[in-house]
Amino acid sequence: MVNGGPQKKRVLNLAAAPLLQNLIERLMLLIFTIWTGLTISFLVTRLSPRNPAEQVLSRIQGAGVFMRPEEIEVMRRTIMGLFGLDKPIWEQYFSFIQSVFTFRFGPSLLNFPVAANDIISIYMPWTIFLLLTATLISWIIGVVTGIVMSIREHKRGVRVLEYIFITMFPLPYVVLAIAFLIIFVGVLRVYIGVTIIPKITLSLETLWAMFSRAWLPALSIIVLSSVNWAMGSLALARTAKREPHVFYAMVRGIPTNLLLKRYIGKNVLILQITALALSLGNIFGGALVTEYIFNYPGLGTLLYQSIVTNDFNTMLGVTTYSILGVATASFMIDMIYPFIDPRVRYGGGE
Amino acid sequence: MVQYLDLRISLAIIISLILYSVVVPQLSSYDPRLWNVVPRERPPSLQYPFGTTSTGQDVFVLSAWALRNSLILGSIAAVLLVVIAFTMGSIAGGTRNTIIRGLLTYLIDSFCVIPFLPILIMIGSLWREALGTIGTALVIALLGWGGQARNVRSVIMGLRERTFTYTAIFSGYGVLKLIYRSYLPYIVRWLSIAFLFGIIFCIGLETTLSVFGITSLENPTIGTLIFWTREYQAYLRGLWWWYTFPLVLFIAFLVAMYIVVRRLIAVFIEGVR
Repeated sequence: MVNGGPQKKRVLNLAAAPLLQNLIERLMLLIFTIWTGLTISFLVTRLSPRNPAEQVLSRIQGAGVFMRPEEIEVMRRTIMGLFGLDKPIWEQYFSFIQSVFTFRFGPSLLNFPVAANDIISIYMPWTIFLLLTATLISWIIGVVTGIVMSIREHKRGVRVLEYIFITMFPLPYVVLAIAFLIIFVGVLRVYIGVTIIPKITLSLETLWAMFSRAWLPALSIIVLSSVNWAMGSLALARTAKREPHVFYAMVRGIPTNLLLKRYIGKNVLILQITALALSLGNIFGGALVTEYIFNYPGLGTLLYQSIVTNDFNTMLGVTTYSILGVATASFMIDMIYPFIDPRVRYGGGE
Repeated sequence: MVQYLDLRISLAIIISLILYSVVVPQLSSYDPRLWNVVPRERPPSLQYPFGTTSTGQDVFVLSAWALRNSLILGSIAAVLLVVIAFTMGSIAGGTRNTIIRGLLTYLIDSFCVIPFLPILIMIGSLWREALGTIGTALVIALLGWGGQARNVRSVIMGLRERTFTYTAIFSGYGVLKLIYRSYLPYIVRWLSIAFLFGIIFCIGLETTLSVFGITSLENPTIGTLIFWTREYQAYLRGLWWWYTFPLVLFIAFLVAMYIVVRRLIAVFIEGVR
C-alpha cells in the first residue's frame, strides 16, 4: 500500500479523500462479514431437522400432564409463536437480523422461559475473565521469548527450546487440554474447583472463586498459545534480521539490548499487537474447547449445551456475540494500523 | 552430521506410521470396528502389546484403524480445502474484473474472520446422522478455506507483478504457455506445502469435533477414540494404555508432518539450502 503508485480502478473512487474511501470500503467489509456469519448461523439452525418447540412440548407432556389433542394443538401453536417458528422463513430471518440490533434473542429453550440474553450475561464475565488473563499473559510471554530467541539463535539452549516448540505447535489444542487433564486430575489428583456458579459481585470472594476455577484451563491455554506467539514472533524477527538496516546495525556492533528494543523488537511488535487485538476480539465467542474439556462455566459451555439441546435462540445469541467481537476487532485494527506503522498509508495503489 | 537429519527421521516416522495404519488392520482376523472381541481392560502384554479397552477392543489394532481413518479424512478434507482456496484465491488475484475481484476479496476476508468452530459444531451436531466421512471432510473444507485463499491471492498478485512475467509476455508467450511454463512450477511447490499443512489443520479440526462426540462414532478416528476414553473415565480409572499409545502415535505423526512442512518451506519458498 505504498503511496504514489499508479492509480488502479477501484469499486469506489474517491481519489481526493483516501482516508474516507478506505473507511467506507472497510465499513462495507465489516457489514458484509457480520452479515455472512449471521446468515450462515441462521441457515444452519433453520435447515436443521430438529424443532425446539416440539421438544418443549414433549417435555411438558413427559411431566405427566394429561391433555386432550386439541389442547396439545393450541399449546403447540402458542410455543411455536413464542419461538417465532410459525412464520415463514424469510420473516424469521428478518426478525433474527432485527434481534441482532437490539440484542434480544427471544426465550431460551434450555431455561424456558428465561430470555437467552439473560443467560448469556450470566456466563459472559466467566469467559471474559478466563480468556482475557490467558490471552494477555501468553502474548507477553510468547512475544518476549520469540524476540530473545531470535537474537541468541546459535545458543544450544535456544535450539533445544525451538525444537520443543516445534513439537507442540502442530498439535490440536484439544490434545494438549486432554494431556493437562490427565496429568493434573488423573495423576496428581489436583482439586480443580467447585461446580456451582456463585453470583457475580465486585468482591474479592467472587474473584477468588473465579480464579480457583480458571487457573487450570488458563494454564493450558497459556502453554499452547505462548508457543504460538513465540513461533510467530521468532519467524517475524528472523525476517526483520534479514533487513539491511538491522544487518548493518549488527555489523556495527550495536549492543544486544538496543538491537532487541529498537531494531527487531519494534518490527515484531507492530505485527503482533494487531494479532493480539484480533485474538482479543475472539474472546466473546468463549473458548469452546477449553470450557468443554475442563467443564468451565462460560459462553463456550453454554454454546455447547445449547447446541446439544437445540436451544436455537441461545445458540444464535452466543454466535452473534462472537461474530460481532471478531469482526469489530479486525475492523478496528485496520483503521488503527497506519497510526502504529508509519510505513502503511491509506489510498494510492493496491 | 548427516544432512537434513530431522527431515530423514520425520519421513521415516511418517512412512512407518502409514504402513502401520494400513497393514495392521489387514492382518487382524476381525473387523476393528467391532466391540467385545477381546477380553476387557487388559494392560499391555505379549498378546496385546498396547493392552485392551473397556469396550473390548485391542488398542494395537484399534489405534492403527483410527489413525488410518484420521489420515483418510484429513487428506480428503485437505484436497477439497486446497481446491476451494486455490480457485477462490486465484480468481480474486488474477481477474481484471473489478466487481468480481471486490466481491471475492470480501468473501475471502469474511471467511478468514468468521469464527468457524461454533458453526462447525452446530452443523456436526445437527446433521450427525447424515454426515459420513466425506460429508465431514466437505464441511471442514467449506468453512476453513479462508486463510489459504488469502495466501493464494497474494501469491498470484505477486506473480503478476514479477519481472519474469513481463519478460515472458514480451517474448511472445501466450497466457496458457505462461501459466504452464512460468507459474506452474512455482505454484506446484506452493500447493504441495498448502496440502501438507492442510492435512495437519484438517486432522486437528476433525479430532476436535470428534472429542465433542459429534462425528460418526461407529468408525473410529483418533478423535472418537479420545471421546470413548472420556466416556469410560479411563483417566481416573488408571487405564493409561488406552489413551497413551494412540496419542503418542498421533502426536508423532503430526510433529513429523510439521517438520517436513517447515523444511519444504525453507527450501522451496525461502531458498535456504
